[in-house]
Amino acid sequence: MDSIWKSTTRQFLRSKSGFAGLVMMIVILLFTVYSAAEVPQNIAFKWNNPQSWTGNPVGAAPVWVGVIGLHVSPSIPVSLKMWQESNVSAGAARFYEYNSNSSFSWSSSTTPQDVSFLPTFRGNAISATIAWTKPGAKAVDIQVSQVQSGNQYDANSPDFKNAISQYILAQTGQYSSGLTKSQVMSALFDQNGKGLLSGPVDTGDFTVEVQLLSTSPLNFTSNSSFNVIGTSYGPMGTDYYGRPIDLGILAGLPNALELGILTSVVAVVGGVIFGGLAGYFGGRKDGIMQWTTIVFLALPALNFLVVISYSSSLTLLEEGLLISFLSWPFYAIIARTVALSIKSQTYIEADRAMGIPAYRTFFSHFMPRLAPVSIAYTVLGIPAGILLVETLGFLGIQPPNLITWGTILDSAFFNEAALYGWWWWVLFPGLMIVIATIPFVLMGFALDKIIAPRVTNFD
Amino acid sequence: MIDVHELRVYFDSARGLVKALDGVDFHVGRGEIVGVAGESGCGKTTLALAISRLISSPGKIMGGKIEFEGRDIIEMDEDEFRKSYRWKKIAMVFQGSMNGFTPVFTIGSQIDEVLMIHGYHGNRVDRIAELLGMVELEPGIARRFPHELSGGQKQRAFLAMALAIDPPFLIADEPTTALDVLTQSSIINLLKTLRKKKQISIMLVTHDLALLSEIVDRVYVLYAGKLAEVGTSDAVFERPKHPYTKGLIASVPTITGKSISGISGFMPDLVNLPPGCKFAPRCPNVMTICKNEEPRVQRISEEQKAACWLY
Amino acid sequence: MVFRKKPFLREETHVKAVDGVNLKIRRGEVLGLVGESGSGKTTLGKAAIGLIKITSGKVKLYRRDNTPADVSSAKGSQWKRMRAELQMIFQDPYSSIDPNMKVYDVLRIPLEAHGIKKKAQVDTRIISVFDQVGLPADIFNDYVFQLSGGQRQRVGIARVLLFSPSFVVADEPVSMLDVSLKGDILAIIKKISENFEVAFLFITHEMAVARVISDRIAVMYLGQIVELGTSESIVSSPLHPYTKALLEATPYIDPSKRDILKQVNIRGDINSDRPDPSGCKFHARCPYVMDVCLTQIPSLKEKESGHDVACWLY
Repeated sequence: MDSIWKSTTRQFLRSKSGFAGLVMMIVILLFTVYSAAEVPQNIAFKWNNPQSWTGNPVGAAPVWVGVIGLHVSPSIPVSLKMWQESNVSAGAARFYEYNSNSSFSWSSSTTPQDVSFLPTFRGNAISATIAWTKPGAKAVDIQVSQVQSGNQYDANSPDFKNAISQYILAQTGQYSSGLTKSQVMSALFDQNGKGLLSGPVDTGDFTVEVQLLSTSPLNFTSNSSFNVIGTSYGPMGTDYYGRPIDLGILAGLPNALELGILTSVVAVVGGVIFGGLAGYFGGRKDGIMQWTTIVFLALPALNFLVVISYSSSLTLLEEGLLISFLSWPFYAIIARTVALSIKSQTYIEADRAMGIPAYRTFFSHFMPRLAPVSIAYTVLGIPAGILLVETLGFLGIQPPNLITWGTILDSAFFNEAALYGWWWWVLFPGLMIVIATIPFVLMGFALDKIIAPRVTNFD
Repeated sequence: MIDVHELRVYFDSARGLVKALDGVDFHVGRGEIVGVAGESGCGKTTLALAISRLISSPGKIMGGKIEFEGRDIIEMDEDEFRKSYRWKKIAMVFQGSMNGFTPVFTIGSQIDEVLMIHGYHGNRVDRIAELLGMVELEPGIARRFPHELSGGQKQRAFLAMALAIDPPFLIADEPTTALDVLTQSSIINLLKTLRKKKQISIMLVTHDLALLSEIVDRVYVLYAGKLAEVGTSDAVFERPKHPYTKGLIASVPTITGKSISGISGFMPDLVNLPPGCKFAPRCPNVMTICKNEEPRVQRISEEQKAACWLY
Repeated sequence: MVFRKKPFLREETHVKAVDGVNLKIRRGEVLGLVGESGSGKTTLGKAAIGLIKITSGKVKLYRRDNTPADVSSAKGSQWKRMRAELQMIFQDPYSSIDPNMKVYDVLRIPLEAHGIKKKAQVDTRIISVFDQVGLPADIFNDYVFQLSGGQRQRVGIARVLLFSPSFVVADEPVSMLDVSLKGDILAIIKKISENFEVAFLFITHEMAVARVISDRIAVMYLGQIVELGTSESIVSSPLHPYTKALLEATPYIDPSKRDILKQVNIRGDINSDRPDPSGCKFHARCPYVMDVCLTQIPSLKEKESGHDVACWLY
């Protein structure tokens, strides 16, 4: 005959919800490992620093939305080739020209969001000229004066706007001042060069030739970048700052799990031991312990958490412990009831008659019976822990160095994602919160069904 | 009055099929007190439940017939059984029956309810007093609540309730086991008086052989779901034939105070029954045939039958 | 020799569970304590080995070298050491041993609690007690829930024997066992008592069982001993009306009694007695009640040699 552990495991694996939950949990754990490996350590710092995301499209939809009938344009890096140096002389002055060119092919019928040019060099340059050639058309020259290394020049820059205004003038005979970024982009990409937002988008091969002009030699230590920034990015899109949502999801995964599991384990173990001892002691000690339990039970956990989190910044660990501190009473009450019914069994009296010390009795009879209940409740408590953590993030009282799905949602709410219609910013974090809790709920139910009859029937 | 043929009752448990009763014949005539003896797990309670049609899932009557006054009550429709038989013709008193009273109503009102439900036409107040008198309780008990009575009084009150509609057949399963010996003897006296006055037939199920011997006319001895021996009280108790019966009787203390023996070994697991005679592993007279083939119930004399290869 | 002298009460519920009991149990004797539920027999048993606090009175244990030890006032480590000499067998084998433990552990843990920790010593001791109760050694690793009631009760007895006690209280040890198993357990108890000179207080509600196993029988009613004598004399010539009633009511295998109504003559139930401070506790139900019974409690006096009774009839 099997021991209790073996038969419990067997029953668990045989149950549909238990098995499904276990499989899901393993999948999630694999993703967590992936996250730990792939997501850089200082991700939180990067996340909160908008500068890190300048190369990304803002509010970009997930790349696959074409499948559901939404039209988006991809983001394409135009890899600039090596700079070729050539010397030019004009009169007595000596000039240095550096050329780089590249091309890309465009097939989407949606105008991209932006183009971004980020030159990186050492030295002083006078100007940069970008010759933009649409398929089957003449080049448009965009000149950036006083080009600085490390600055991003995009469709919003005055240089671009100027150049494009001229271009449109040449095409339509109309001059518009105060062009918007979208107008610049459509001028760059449409077939008739009119810069009308409704114009059909040109498809085919585009060429980009960049020329840097300077009076002294320039050094190129790292790559300059030229990007066509579309309206889609990544598997889950980007947010207001261009931060990829999938990165945020991955970053938040270990946090959610760690905190969820930690808070549940600490609360259950602490609560069960406390309640078990209370039931075991009886009498005055029990009375005091019960009183303590009820006081903590009555504390409004969320309010308490908000106040504490607000007044001092907490580490992950501290926050977890704080949450446990407020959830243990529930388990203490259950454990006390179990302990009381164990206490009334004759074998406890028999132990005393044999002169077996109290602590020994507690360990050999009470703990093995409290353990299965504890395990079931730990598993069932993890979803609650996860939810509480995400709620705190959503309310904006998370320690700032922590990325959780709740904080992503908070940011979405704050930045009015709904207004923009950026559904991916809200859907994915929200979905993840639910998905992360499902395996534990499934397993917890399976365990509860197996263990509960044992608690009441007693052996 | 009641005739049971080849009754089989099996229970579907997590470990397998439990053959609680496996082909048992049973008979109670009018005005007879019949005892069913055996130890825990022998099937005697199952027999009582089957006759009362109280077997419920995971148990099921898998075969056999139970005829009450000629009619098969297994096949009978539940409604008909409830209206015509249960409590009117077949009444039951079980070990825990004394706790079958609702604590929030008086004894009298609960007996009254039974009378009403079964359509008693006479004066109910008088009848309640009469019933309480029959079980030797004072009529004032009707106004009391169950928690005010002792265990013995409650069991008697329940007996009164069981007799409310004058059933010709009473099933009593361990009716006195939870009571002290003085109360027990007065309740047994009560049953004897009832039989004498009202010609009521009683099926008395208990593990207490001594108790049975002092009241029953005939006795059935069950073992592991099968009949081991049956006969008149005199025959079985004074001249037991089946080795199990002999062993059981030797396990009951006598007035001389001689040491009691036991029967070595243990009751077989009803899920994994050994082949052949179920008692073979423990039998002091075991023979080779006992291990291979099951003995059928043999008639040993006018008054006695046993299922044993010795005969 | 185990000697007990204790008039005592149990205050908490203001019910005198045991009210003025003086009892001597001899070394190696089996004393049967017969009474119905509510008679206080279990309380007396537990008090006799120090499991319950006594309100007043004393329980003294005389060891083999005749030095006395006060059981009732022992505390702490002294109390714990006495556990080795004073033991108890419980009524329900299904709840007095933790079903979720291994049989081996059930016996190992008490040994360790009393300082016997080395595996070799533990094993020897366990095998020896198993031998005494007739259990095969191959059930060591089984879980208790796999055992039958009879087997569990044997484990319960084995547990009691671990420390070679001089006095054991057996509280209805066979009441919950099937008929065919009782004989074996009783035989084991008898053997232990004879071979190892262990005194037993055998508590039961069945007079017939007490007769089989006891040397002497004490009949208890509502906290007091009403009769005391050898089993033979109690059963063949009972003196107290209650004892007579019990014997009359006890069934034996006797088909000739079928048509006879037993004359037990006792009115009411044990519950109908409210704690009545005055007079004999049995007077409300006694068929021979006299005036004196209502006002004065009879004390246990010797009527014949070795046969005491507490009744105003004598």
